[in-house]
Amino acid sequence: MNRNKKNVLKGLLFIAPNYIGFFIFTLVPMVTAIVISFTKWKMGDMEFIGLKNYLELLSSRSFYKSFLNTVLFVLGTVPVTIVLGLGIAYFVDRYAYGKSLIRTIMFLPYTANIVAICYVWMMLFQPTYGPVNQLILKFVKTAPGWLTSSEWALICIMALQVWMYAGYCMVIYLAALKQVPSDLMEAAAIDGASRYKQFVHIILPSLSPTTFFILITMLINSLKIFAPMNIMTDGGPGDSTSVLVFQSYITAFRYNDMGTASAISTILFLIILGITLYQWKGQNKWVNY
Amino acid sequence: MMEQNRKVKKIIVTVLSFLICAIVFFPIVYMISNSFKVELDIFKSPFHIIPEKFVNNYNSVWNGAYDFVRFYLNSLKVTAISVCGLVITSLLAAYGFSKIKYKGRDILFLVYMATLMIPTQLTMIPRFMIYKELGIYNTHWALILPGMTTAFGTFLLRQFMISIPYEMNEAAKIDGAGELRILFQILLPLLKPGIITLVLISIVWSWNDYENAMLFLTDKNLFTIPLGLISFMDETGKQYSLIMAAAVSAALPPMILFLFGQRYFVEGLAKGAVKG
Repeated sequence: MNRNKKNVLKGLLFIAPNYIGFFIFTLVPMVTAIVISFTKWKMGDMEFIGLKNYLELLSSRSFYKSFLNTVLFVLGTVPVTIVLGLGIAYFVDRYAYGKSLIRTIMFLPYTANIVAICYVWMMLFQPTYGPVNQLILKFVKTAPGWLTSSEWALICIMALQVWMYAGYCMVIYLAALKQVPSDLMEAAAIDGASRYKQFVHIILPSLSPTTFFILITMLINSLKIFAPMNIMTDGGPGDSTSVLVFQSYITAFRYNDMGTASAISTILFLIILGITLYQWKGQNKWVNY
Repeated sequence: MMEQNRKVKKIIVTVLSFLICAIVFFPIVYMISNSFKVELDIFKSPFHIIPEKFVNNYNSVWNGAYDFVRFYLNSLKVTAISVCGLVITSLLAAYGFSKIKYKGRDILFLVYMATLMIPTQLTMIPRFMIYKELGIYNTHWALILPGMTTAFGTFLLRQFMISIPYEMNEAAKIDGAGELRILFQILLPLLKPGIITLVLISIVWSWNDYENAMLFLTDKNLFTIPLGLISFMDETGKQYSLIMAAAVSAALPPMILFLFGQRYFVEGLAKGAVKG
């Protein structure tokens, strides 16, 4: 056997244990999901129906609602999380005492168990006796019903998401802030640039690779939100917290409609793919490596 | 004057930061506080952070009257096996993707990376079928096997591995060492930070994994902590004091790990980790 062939064999053997698992548990399911989305399949016979699932979804009110809720959820969480993370990181890095203690506390929610936290959330936002409303009722006469109200439930889950990830963003920004070239900052300070100008013209551009990474991570994290809905609200009240992953889940496992459920997943997959590609293409405009 | 100004600023920012920390920390404190309360005091108005009457709800959770101990052991088992497996498969794959040169390697790696961004929630249905087909549905293997073969592990360790110069391999080869020996005897000590990072992060993810457990486990005897908490809710008849004691018990291990391994977490997550 020549050297080249031997290397191929060796290489494949090394990656095999991990790659086979990846192949079976990630790659094949992904392709299969797309294939199923073109079929009518309710756990019995499978029938190829082309784009029909997609066309039906386009005119489905509940799909429209889940789609809208997902978009709202992304808009209500991603910018807030990133701005909070960056803002706190900037000020803490510059001025605060006890930096490492702040960092530790802020990051803790990221390690929290989602089920445990959902139960805590249900108690915190309990409409009549929960501490949040106890506080609000001290100042005003009526307080929102939070998870039991179709107007507030999604916002309440947004708060949970921001709570879990703001500290995570902050910690990553803190690490990145250390890499901002200090000679640039000093030169700007000598030239009399204001703090604000230094932030906009030096710090933000040097942080752009980190922002790029955090933006994609947070977008995907919010697009795939599912657990809080399944644990706390069951998509309700009404369909006010039904998001795409949740709808896909109940369509498959409650209504046994695998084709439609897979079409929903595939749409979400395309959205994520689109965002990722768009970001990669757009990043050379604003990311400075 | 300038100095003093700066000091005032620092104090203001510090106070504000700790205020934010207090808000962030509050749900965790509230959880711990309620775990020591009598059921009747939990929704008392006004609420007290320090319980008026301390009770040890942990005793009831852990004394074996409920299945919580079993859920805990299940989680320990699943997490331990998947993380050990993940470290080994990832080490091998990272080596195969960075230290052995062969045709097609980079294409294989690209496929890998392309899927790193795709959330597992999108493949629930096919995995459900595949697991049934493989006979691992409703067994711990449904969590362990996928857990020990994530692309994330390979990606992370490869990041650490490419910073080790290839000359190490060449020198070792001249001395007659095989690839496995190079990996486990020469590179392994240098990869320690990377491995610790991977171990810590994947313990937290595996321990907290709710979605996969929910999808693939139906037998209550097999439940891991996240599912266990939910069934505990029914078992105790929605007794929040007991649930909070169980929740604290469930949430504690990842938090403690984080407290000890902070810098590894930050490094690993900043290296381009995307939770799948």
